[in-house]
Amino acid sequence: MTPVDIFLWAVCPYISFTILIVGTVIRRVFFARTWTSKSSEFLEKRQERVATPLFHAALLFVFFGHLGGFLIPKTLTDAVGFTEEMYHVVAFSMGGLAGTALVLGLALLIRRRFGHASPRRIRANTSAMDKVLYVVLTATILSGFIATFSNASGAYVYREGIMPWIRGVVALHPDPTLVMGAPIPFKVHMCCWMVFFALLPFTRIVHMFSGVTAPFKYLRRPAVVYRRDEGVVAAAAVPGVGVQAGVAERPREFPRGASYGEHEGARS
Amino acid sequence: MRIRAQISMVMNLDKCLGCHTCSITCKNAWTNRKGTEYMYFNNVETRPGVGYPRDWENQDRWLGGWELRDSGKLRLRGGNKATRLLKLFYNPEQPEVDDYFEPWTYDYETLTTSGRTRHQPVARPRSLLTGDRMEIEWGPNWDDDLAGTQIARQDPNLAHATPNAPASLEDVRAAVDGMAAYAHAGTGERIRMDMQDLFMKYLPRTCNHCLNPACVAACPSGAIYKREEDGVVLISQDACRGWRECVPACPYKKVFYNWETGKSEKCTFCYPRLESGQPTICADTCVGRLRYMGVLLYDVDKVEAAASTRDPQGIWRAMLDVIADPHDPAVVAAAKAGGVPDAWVAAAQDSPVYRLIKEWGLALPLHAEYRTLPMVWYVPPMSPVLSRLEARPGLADADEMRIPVSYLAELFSAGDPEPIRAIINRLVAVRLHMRAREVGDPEPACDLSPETLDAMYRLLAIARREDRFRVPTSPVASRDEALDAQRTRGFGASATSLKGGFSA
Repeated sequence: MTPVDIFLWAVCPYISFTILIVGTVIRRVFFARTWTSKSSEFLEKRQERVATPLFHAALLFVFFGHLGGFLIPKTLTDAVGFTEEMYHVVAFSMGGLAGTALVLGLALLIRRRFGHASPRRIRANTSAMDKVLYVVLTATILSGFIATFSNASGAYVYREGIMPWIRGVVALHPDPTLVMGAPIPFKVHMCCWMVFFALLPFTRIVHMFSGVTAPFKYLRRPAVVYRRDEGVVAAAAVPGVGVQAGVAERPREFPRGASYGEHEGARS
Repeated sequence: MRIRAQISMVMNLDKCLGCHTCSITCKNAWTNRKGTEYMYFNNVETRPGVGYPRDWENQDRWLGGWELRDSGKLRLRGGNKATRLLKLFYNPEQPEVDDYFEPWTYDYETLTTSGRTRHQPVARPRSLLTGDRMEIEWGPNWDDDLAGTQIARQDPNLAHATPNAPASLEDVRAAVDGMAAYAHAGTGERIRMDMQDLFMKYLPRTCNHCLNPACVAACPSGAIYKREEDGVVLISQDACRGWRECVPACPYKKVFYNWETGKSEKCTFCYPRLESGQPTICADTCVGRLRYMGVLLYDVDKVEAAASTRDPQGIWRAMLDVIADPHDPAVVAAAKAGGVPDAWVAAAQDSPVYRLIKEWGLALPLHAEYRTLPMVWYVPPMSPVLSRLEARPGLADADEMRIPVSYLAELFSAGDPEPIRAIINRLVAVRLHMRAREVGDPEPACDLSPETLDAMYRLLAIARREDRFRVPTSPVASRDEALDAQRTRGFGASATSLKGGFSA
């Protein structure tokens, strides 16, 4: 086990996850105003029609495939008599299909944003961070795609290497020896997603978190949202309650008949 | 009964001269930042016309507003919550910038930096989306004053409207020899927009700050809210996540997507002005003095039932019932119990808006059939008498005017011509009454007392500033606090302050 192995497989994941979590929280709390997918459907719609739904649907499929692999240990499938061969056939066929759709969707998105047919409106409104994001995203997706298809035979059993390793990382017991022997495409894929996670809080990708929380709140809430804006201000302005510095002292009740032209002078 | 206060507006279309001052002052106040150039929180449309954005009234295309299910339940026309969430990655009903117009500026610098040339230098247009030179093919007001009648013909309201049928066809025949063809009028004939029948009026539009707002109901983030204290509908720029559900959901297309910040913005009803007792900037600067602002008290418990009225033509009448009588002691008690300040109750009792809408029955909401219960109402316009009827002496009634009653009915009463007729005939009665006072003609036969007609004349024709606006003040924070709160109340970030954080 070389220092490089330790750095890559026992230190980097924590750097990546720390930046992901801390960065996301900071952005959510202090920069909520910048939290958006920055949709460009408003600027170009025709090409988006196929590209975006295909990409996102495939990505969700791939995400849940990865999650399944992470959550279901080999010991469990072995225990119920589900052999490694059967698992590989299922995982490879479904993952391969979703991966192909994902690569296709990504290709269409790249074509829309950077390609020959890319509208000027899109290109003129692609930020530097968008470009970095596309490079890292493409590298992550392509390396995963290549890793999957280069291992079509199932010669490398990642369920005995990568999956226990990532479970160990999450359990704070990283064991680099589990992944040191992984084929290069898998290693590249792992490095890519670590970079991607570290980049995520600083990009428009944060919009995926709104997709996780908002719908559930939305499905439960009443149609019309009422909110009082005066709340804090009014409470602070009630005489005797302790007027905050900087808050104009103002009675809760207003002079009868106060309206335009009659209200007391300039507001402080 | 739960009574809340709503700041409301009435526009007297009779006096709109289409000067666009309201749009310009609004634009300079609110939407002169990058990403907002294409937005007009307030715009003035020439009618008939396609409006802004183009074709906004065609709800078969945008699926805006609410629909009443067979079960009697209201649902957003765009579908239930799950259906709409599934449209997240590609929403067919989402408008594009070209539905509004591609914003541009001009190369003004060339006028001063140009070297010596044989021809005068020209400031050429440049796109504000790409920075490239562009050909201007559409604008926020491309069909102003019926520019290109081919465009006006696309007005969806013309599909169901018919030309005016004058009170007596015999009169018409007597007045216009050889125009027997006109006898077909009012028998289902379509408005042809022929030269001799051409009509035109202006329709200023802002956000309606609806009682049953579809944009609020459509927002998955809960970022859009209706303020309890004054009914203003605002979008928190902190909470907005850029789902854009609000844009197609608003049937008036008055929620806009800022492509630069990735968030939605809309008319704020100039809430900082309201809070200091001033009317909105569009109303304040209106050259024709046609905008009225004041407080309405409404019963929250009646909102859903009114929006669920089975007959679309009955919705605006149901709204009259939602708007509570501020002189009713029970209403006043409920308002105070609900936290409406005394000054607001007093303002509601002296509200020009209440007078126009409910006491005098002169105003109607725009497209109440969208079921959002809009709180900006309109006094339908009178118009010149049809030229072929000018032989008749005296003032005409509603059916002899140039703007077909059925066209106005499509806009303001879901196709029911009766309320339009009633209002225009009342406006005619005000004029006849004033004429009677000036020249000694007999008083018009009218269900309104001479005192009421005088009061209508003062409010509609004289329209003094202190009579038009009755806006009570609200608690206001310090300047620093107000600045801090502005983003949660809908004022989008400037591009530069956004770039200071994260640019992606």
